[in-house]
Amino acid sequence: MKITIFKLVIIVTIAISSIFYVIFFVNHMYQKEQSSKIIIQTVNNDMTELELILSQHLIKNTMASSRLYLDRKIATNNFIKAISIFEGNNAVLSTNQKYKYLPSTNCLNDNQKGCYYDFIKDATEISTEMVVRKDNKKSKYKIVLYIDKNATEEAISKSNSLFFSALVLIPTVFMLLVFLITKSMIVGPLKRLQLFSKSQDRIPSEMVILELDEVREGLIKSFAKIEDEKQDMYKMLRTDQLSGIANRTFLEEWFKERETYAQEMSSTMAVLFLDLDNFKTVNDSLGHNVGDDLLRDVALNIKSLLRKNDVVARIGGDEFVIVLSDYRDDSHLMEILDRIQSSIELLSHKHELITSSIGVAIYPNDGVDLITLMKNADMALHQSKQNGKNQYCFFASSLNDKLQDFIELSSDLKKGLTRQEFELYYQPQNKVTDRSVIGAEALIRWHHPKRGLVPPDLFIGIAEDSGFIIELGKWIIEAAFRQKREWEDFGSNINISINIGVKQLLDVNFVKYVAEMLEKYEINAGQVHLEITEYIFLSSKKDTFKIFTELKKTGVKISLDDFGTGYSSLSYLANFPIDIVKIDKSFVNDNSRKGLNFLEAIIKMGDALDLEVVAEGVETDIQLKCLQTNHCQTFQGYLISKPVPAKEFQKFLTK
Amino acid sequence: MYILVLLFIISFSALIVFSVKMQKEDKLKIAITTWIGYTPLIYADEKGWLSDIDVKIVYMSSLSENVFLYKSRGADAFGGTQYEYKLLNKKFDLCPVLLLNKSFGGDKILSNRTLEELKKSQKKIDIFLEIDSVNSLLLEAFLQKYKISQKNVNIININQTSIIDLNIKRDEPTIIITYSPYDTLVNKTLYSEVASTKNGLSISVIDGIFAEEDTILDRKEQFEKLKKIIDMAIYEAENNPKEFYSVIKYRTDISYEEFMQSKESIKWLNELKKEDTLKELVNVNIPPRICL
Repeated sequence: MKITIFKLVIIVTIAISSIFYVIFFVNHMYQKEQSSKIIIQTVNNDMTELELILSQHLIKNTMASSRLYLDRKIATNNFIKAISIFEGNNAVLSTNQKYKYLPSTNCLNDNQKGCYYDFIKDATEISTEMVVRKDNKKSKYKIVLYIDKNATEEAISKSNSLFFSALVLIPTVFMLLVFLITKSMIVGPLKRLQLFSKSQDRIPSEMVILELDEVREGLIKSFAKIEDEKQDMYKMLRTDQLSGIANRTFLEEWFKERETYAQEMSSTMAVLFLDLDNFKTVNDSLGHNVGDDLLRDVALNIKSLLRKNDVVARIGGDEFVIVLSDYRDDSHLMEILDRIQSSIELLSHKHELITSSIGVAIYPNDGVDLITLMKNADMALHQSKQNGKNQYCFFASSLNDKLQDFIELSSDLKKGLTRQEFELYYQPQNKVTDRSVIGAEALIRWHHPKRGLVPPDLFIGIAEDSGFIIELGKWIIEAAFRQKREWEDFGSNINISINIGVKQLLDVNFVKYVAEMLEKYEINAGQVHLEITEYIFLSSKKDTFKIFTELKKTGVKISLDDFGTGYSSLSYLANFPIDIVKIDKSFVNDNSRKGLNFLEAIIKMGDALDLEVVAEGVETDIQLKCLQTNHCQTFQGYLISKPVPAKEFQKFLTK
Repeated sequence: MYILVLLFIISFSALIVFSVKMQKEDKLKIAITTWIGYTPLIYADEKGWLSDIDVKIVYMSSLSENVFLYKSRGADAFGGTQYEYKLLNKKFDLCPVLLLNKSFGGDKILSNRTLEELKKSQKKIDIFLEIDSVNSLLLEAFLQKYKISQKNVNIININQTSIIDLNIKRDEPTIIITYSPYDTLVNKTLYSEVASTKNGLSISVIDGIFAEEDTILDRKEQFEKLKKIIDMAIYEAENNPKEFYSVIKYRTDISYEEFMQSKESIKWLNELKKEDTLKELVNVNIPPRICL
């Protein structure tokens, strides 16, 4: 049978209290009886004494002179309220005229025996007979003492109060105190310990009882130890012991979580299956220790390249699986792949030549679960091994083709500059009023030996991504300035507009280079329009403003290209030193009422802000008419000419 | 838990209350006689006003009995004159609680001879008095004023209640010194008033309630309430004498007429201003202080 501490305390307390109750109750009843007995005896004694005194006093004195003895008795005995002396039925002397009546049947006589308390409750008088012999005459008197009921009740009730407070209240208070202490210091803490042992989420506070507090501390330590071991076990089960990075178990769990997010956001993930080329050779030739070190280094290198939402796991031997979820596009992905492979190659100085092959599968195109993706990435890996190792291969063939193209173009771009395969074409910029040529926009063209004329939208992006744009941009600026010089020598002072990429603009040496070129070719800086797209405003406002300001110091003009399609707002027009706004051809082509209103609004805004407005993509007379109506200043487009080589452009100058 | 705490608080409070109740002081006992000047206390007692403030009156037959009772610690305070005050002040540090009345004929000297006869008496005069009381002061004042020599007198101590025994024709010149209401016990055909605090005696007799200073301070609240009750009782005595008498008659055993006459023989001092109270004290050689 089980019992709670609380119940046990109650039982014990009640048992002990009951024993004391019985003892005290018996004692109380005894005390009450004794008190009653004492009262009766006191009254009896006084009566006896009075009888003795009076019986002597009255021999020689009058009854009236006895009064003082009666008064004294009343004064010294609280239980007597009045005394009367009767001779027959007559009261011959009384301390209070109210008490001149003979006693009732409830008269306690001096021979009273038995239960005193019962009698004192009802007794109202006590009397005795007195005989006085005076002058040979015998006189009989009755002395009656009238009991003060209030005084007797008060005396007895005092012990009742004592009993009540001592035997009722004190044990009650004691019991309650014990309950409170037990509950707050023992039962409560034990319950908290019990809860803590079940679910360790809430650590109980310090306990007053030392033993309980020691149990608490012991539990905390034990649970902390278990938790640490649990964490260690958890980690161990999800960690590759050799390299310290994640293992397959962790990868699977991670992918499950990440997949939910990718599904919600409809985003992609790239699963990379990486294998070290000729790892067996390293292991065999340099020993397993070196091989292990290599694997460790590879793991750390890869890990250091990854971002917050990417993961790398070693799944066996020299095989790693990397999952990337934070890449912008295919180009960026390829960039990351290149970096991973480069970082592994860097380890070659410590070990033998170390390269890697990577197979890439894309979620969700190449699979929606990890197993399928890994299988497909493995197939791609196999392909890259077959292709000669030290490369990466995509599972999807289209991606592979794109990759191939990207690699080829990237390589050819650099070679193209050396082989002078680039040429600037020029498109005239004309006055709206009279179509006269007032400027030319320089546009790059690439004469690829195999591909033929490669349009800029194909290779400029590659140049930007690879960083080649800076070098190419420099060439463009110098070529344009050279051409401008030639025109000026020819006697033509037209403006020249040059497109500047964002990366190029943000290069630290750009402004200096422009200034140098201006000086070299002695160009009128005010006739140089640098066309910058609105994407520049994605960069730091502070940096952009600084560059614009420095450019302005050189004297060149800044033209905001493709206005309306990007990220500019009116505040940029107001706060940045922009001179020209080039309306994108999409606005020029829009013949709808809304489109025409937009066009008109842009032109008027430019006019209001004292900006030159150039309309791009003008192909028809109607479009030109519209520009004329709205007082646009300049236009360019196929209406006059497509971009042409410098030699062909000459004719516009001759005209 | 809260219920337990609440029960604990209630029980503990009850325990404190009972403990305090049990430690309640005994009643304040005041010893008095049935002198007319103390009838306001008798009235208040019979009305139950005094039990409300835990005061008990102990009735003694004479002021010397009062002294006896007080000495034996049978009372916490006593009613008395300046005589009892001086007697007990030798042993106790007494202080007047309040002054009740001044004798204005209430203390008297009765005799079976005229004043002239007493002055010229060749026989020894038997003088019956309560020696250990203010009676002796009256005697001293009387003998001094009327130039009666101590050698010419027999001083016999008598309890006031025994005065009735003197109602016999005596050949000896007899003087009875008494005070109201015991004077009503004397046969007026045998004895006549020769002097009193109203006539022929230049002595001031005051009655008050006296107690030790410590007792007064310990029970200050009770004494203050007692004073108010006494004022109320005296008001009833003056304004509703019949009703007043109907309440006190059981203790005094006098007729209504005798009561009214006795009342005329005193002057109440309860409403005196403090300065006047102190003057009265000085008049009777009591240090001028009121401890209440």
